[in-house]
Amino acid sequence: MKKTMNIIFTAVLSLAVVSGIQAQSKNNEAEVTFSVSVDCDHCKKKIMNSIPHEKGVTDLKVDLAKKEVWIKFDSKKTDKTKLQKALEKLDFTVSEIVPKAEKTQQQTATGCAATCRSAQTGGCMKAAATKKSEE
Amino acid sequence: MTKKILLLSFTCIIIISAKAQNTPPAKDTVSYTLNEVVYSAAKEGNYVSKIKPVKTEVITNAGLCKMACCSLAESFENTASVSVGYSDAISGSRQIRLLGLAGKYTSMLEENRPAMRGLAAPFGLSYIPGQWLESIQVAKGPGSVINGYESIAGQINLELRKPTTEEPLFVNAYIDHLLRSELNVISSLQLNKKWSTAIFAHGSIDAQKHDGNSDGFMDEPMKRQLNFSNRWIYLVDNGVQWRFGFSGLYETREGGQMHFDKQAPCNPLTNNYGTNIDNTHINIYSKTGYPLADDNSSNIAFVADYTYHDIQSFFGVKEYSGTQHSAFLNLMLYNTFNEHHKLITGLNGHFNDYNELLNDRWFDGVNPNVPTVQDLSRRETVGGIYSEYTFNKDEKLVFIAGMRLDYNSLYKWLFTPRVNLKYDFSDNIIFRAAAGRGFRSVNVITDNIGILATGRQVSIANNLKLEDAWTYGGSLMFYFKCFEDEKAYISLDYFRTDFIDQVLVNQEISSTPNLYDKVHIYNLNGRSFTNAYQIDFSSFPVERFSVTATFRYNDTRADLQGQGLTELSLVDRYKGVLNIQYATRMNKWVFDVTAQINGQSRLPNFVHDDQKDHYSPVYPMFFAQLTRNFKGLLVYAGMENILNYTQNNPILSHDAPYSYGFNSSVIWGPLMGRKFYAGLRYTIFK
Repeated sequence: MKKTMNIIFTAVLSLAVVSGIQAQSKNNEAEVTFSVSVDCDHCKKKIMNSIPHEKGVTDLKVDLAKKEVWIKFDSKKTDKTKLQKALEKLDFTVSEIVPKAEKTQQQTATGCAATCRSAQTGGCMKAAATKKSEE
Repeated sequence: MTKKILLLSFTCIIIISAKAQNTPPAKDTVSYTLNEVVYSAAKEGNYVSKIKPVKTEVITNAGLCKMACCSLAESFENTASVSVGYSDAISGSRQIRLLGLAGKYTSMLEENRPAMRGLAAPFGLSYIPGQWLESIQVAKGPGSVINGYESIAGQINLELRKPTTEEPLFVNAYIDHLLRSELNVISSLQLNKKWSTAIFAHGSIDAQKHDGNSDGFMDEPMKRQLNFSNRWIYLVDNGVQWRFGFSGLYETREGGQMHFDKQAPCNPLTNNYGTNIDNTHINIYSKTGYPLADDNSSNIAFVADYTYHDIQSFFGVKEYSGTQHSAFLNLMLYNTFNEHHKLITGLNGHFNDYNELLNDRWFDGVNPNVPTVQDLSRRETVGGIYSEYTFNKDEKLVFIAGMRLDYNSLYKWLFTPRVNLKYDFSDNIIFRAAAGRGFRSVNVITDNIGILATGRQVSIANNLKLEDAWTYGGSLMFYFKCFEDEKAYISLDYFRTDFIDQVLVNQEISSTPNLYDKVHIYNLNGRSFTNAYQIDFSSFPVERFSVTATFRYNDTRADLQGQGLTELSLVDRYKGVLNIQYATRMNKWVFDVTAQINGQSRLPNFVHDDQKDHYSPVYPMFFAQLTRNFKGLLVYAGMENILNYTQNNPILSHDAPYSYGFNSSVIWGPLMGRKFYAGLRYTIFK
């Protein structure tokens, strides 16, 4: 029995260490944050089901409260536009949130902020409303 | 000791590796990151609700995915609040315990409608497949008066997957090493803006006979189950909503001796012993909500629910059959006067018609089939009026006072007061208190189905009373920072239940010295109480790594005939649960390990001959599961009862199934050994 326990813990432990090492060896990583029309757990589930499997995506976080999706990616394999399209393909309204420093630079260059689209309500609003009413 | 070191090093290395993954971004990457990230790891596992006025543990869909969770019973394996045990070693009936009290004292609700009541109770925990569930809410204490007077220990509300969820197809397939297999198919369809429907189908088969302890009896019965459900939601923009649906189930289970053949009759002369239990269950419901004010500050709701249940069974030469028709009606009027005051008033009706027949046949040593027929039929109608007032001071102080007055056709007038209080000393310290009364009418056989799997006669006293109890208690929750987790918490609970009237089931009374030939069912004469203490800890110390730990202690005693105030038998004194979950980035791999320590319980006095108190051993249980997420597909594999721990000799006198000594209801531990399983969940999103 001790042997079985040891095998299980060693297997889990090895996988955890390997995944840690892999994470440290990544280069060319970039990040982007999108404002996305997510408003329910189901939306989050939908994104978590799809975007992690897009080429080049190395990490992803969904903040339902802020309606934001943060993606870390390998810039050699994908780019912000492709990621935005992948999110839009899931029927979300998506706009990039440009960090303040970068935003000032862009405004100086173009005279116009890159993103100002507000998230619109999607099909999930209905689910959110339903959930609320059930509570 | 070696195990402790292994566990400790395992935990440390996972924390280190998680930290490595969480190293700050390289300088050339965009510096913007989310300030307050909702971790993509399964943060929504099991948690104690911060906002609910009643102490409520929520087991979410993510929590349900930590284990195979084939049935509702298995969904409680990683919570200490609820214990799940077998009622006997033959029928496979599983029963829960909350606050140290048998499951019959917990009100089971399906989306706030009464469920698994009456004849459906003994096997009800296997009637709702775990994969159909969206979440489970376990509320301790008497709770609300809205749904009736029944809950004494607490309420368990089951939320099923919703028709409005945009998942046109969900498929779950499961198999274990004993070839128990299961298939669930769910389709949620939004037909237009107003109409949505969900179709649920389940089939499971457990056709393999298995006798791990070589006592000649199957460890679990062979089972076949088919469930179907169709639910609808109609939503209108002005707030009108209508939810309705139906569900149907057929289940058959066959147990007993390994060589038992259902076609050959059970016979005391040949020692041929087996059981067969067939259940049919139908439920139809409708819930309507109608706003009475534009701002929805006032609305009216009507709930109607009908349940039919049929059970046909035999246990050796004993036969039990029953049919139940139940109707539940509830008319509620919600009024929110302002942000501080809310009032719910309503009318409630509950109709129950039970037709039950017990043929308690026995073997007198010569005649193998002496019939003893007992008609247990009853018709019980309850009509009630209730009111529940809520005072809410900026969510910091919430006080709920409810009362109801019911007229029961068998037990006359019943008054049920209940109060709940929640006070936030600060954002990080929350206090809750609850007190209230509950009643319950007994179903002698289905509350105690295990007594049929014994060689004893069932002796039922005349004029069994309505069970009547007061439950009171409170909890304190402390939120604090634990490494990266700003909202780690420790929760402390204490609840006490005092019975005024209770129906006791006692197998410890001997007719003559050392002759235990009857199961006695009678009214409590004296005291009966339970003290339940619990401490919970939950934290996500580093990203994607969670730890939850719970420890519960119970002290359950009653005045038993001939024994005085005695610790109730087969109630575990304590239980501890530790769950550790680690997920790699984006949950591509998820590792779950659950460890349980199960405390001793007093064994009934007839198990040993020396008239001393004997206790079951303390035993650990380990569970582990590995989950891999692909696009649309989730594959999982795991192991239950890793240490392969089983109760020795779960069936007393298994070699003489028609003797008085034959008893399969003395169960304190696992009946099944180590189990390997694997499954998949496939989802198509809209």
